[in-house]
Amino acid sequence: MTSFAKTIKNKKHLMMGILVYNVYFFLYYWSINYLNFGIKETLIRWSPNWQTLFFKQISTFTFEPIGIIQYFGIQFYVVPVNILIGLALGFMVFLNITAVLYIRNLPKQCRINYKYNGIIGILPSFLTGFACCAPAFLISLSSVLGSSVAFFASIFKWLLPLSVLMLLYGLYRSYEIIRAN
Amino acid sequence: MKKIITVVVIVALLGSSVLFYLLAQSNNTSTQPDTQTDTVQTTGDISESDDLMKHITSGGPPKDGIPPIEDPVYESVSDSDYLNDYDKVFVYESNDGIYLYPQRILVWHEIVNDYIDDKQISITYCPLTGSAICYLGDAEHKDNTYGTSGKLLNSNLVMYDRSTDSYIPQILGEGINGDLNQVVLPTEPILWSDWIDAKRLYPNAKVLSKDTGFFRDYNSDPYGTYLPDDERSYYYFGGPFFPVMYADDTFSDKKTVVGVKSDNHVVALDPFLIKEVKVLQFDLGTTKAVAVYDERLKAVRVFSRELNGTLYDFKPSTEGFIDQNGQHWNYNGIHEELQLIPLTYFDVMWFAWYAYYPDTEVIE
Repeated sequence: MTSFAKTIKNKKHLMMGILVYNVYFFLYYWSINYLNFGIKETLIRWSPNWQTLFFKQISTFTFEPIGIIQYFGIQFYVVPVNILIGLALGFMVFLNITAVLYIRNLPKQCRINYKYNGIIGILPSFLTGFACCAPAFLISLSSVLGSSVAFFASIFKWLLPLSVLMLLYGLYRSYEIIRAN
Repeated sequence: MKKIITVVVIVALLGSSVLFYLLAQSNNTSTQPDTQTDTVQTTGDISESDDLMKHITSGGPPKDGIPPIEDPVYESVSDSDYLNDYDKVFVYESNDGIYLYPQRILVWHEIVNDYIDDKQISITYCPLTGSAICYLGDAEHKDNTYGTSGKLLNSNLVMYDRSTDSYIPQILGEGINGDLNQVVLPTEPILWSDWIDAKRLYPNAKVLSKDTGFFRDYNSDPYGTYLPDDERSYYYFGGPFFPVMYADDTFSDKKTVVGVKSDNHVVALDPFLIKEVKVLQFDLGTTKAVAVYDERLKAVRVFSRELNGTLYDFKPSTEGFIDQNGQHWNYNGIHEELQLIPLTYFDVMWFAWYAYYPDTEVIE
């Protein structure tokens, strides 16, 4: 049985993984300002220039919306590349979560020196939303950060790759233990 | 087999993230400023030895990542019912009519390129420095349009010229590299006003529509609001986000001043003073100027006092001002067939004005 199959064999773990996958995806999409709540107007619109906008970046790893859907107070910008990024990151989170849950059920002696650090990799990707001239999270923290905003803006482009690397490292460490058991 | 699939999935994810990273890097690299270090002469107060290109920082987005509006659509005042009474609008008074640009749309686009009165104009707005300026093409490139470079100088929007790729810091209004190096762009006045005042004065104005060709949340402003009770608004509180070349505490950083330029001289006017005295005469080098408080729009206008060889002395009057001969001029600087010439002036946050013009005169 492969390591992956082992991690999703338990139905509870699988369901938890899928739940976290979904929650992660929507949190990521909300954090980059493409999912909003409390919108009164109902509408569905698509850009006639969607081909031009499809790969147009508005900031590092954030792309131009090609459509908008507003229903039941929820506003969802349709940004295919960011949807793919969110799904890919979410899948890595899913793999990490199911692996962690599997390892937690192993006997203690099988998980000596194991830390759940891969999961921390989720965090940086939530910080990639950009507003106009400055990342959205920096604007909200500007009163605390003061003139350090520029420094944080300069490291901003590394956040998503950092997230990916941390998630991959977490997976590598987890699957090493799962394979050995 | 499943093991192979797992490995393939992981490698694909890693590969795609590297690909996206490289894509992002290549996009950013293409917008890096030139490495030229020529001395740049500016409009007045920044010394010749200062190299403005050296002080340019990345704001984050790539070139035109903040997308200018290229084919603006306008609607009537009555169709713009989504605007609140105290929303800020930028008023552009052309021969062709009055155009109103809601700040809540401009905050997401920063530049509107349009063709009005048979000339190419660009309405530019930088939310970080609270400056809205209308630029025209320079004499050799009359049909220039401008884009957002994704760069900042003194926390201020750096535009780029689409035909020459030169950088033009918005407040400076002058090219700092390439073909437009040291070329000063002509301007036309834009006035800040509240929606309630602008629509009352100009009920037939054309209002920039939310139909911009892009999807943005025009009901929200990431920096806060211009409402006086918004205690967390970037527009009123805190310092600049990005480094500035010079700083001063004559006023608070976000205090609005009216920056005026003429004859290589610059002056910062306190709009509260103009509101109090209604008409203020002052000199910028050899230019005799007058600042007038327009009660209708609650905005300051600045004109040259010289017209057709005559120097006028103005005093306040109802619905405008009067000259030494008792002739009445309206707020737009018009008396019968005569029209005073507006200077280059615009509202701007104090920190940004001072950062460009540390030797500025201040009238408060």
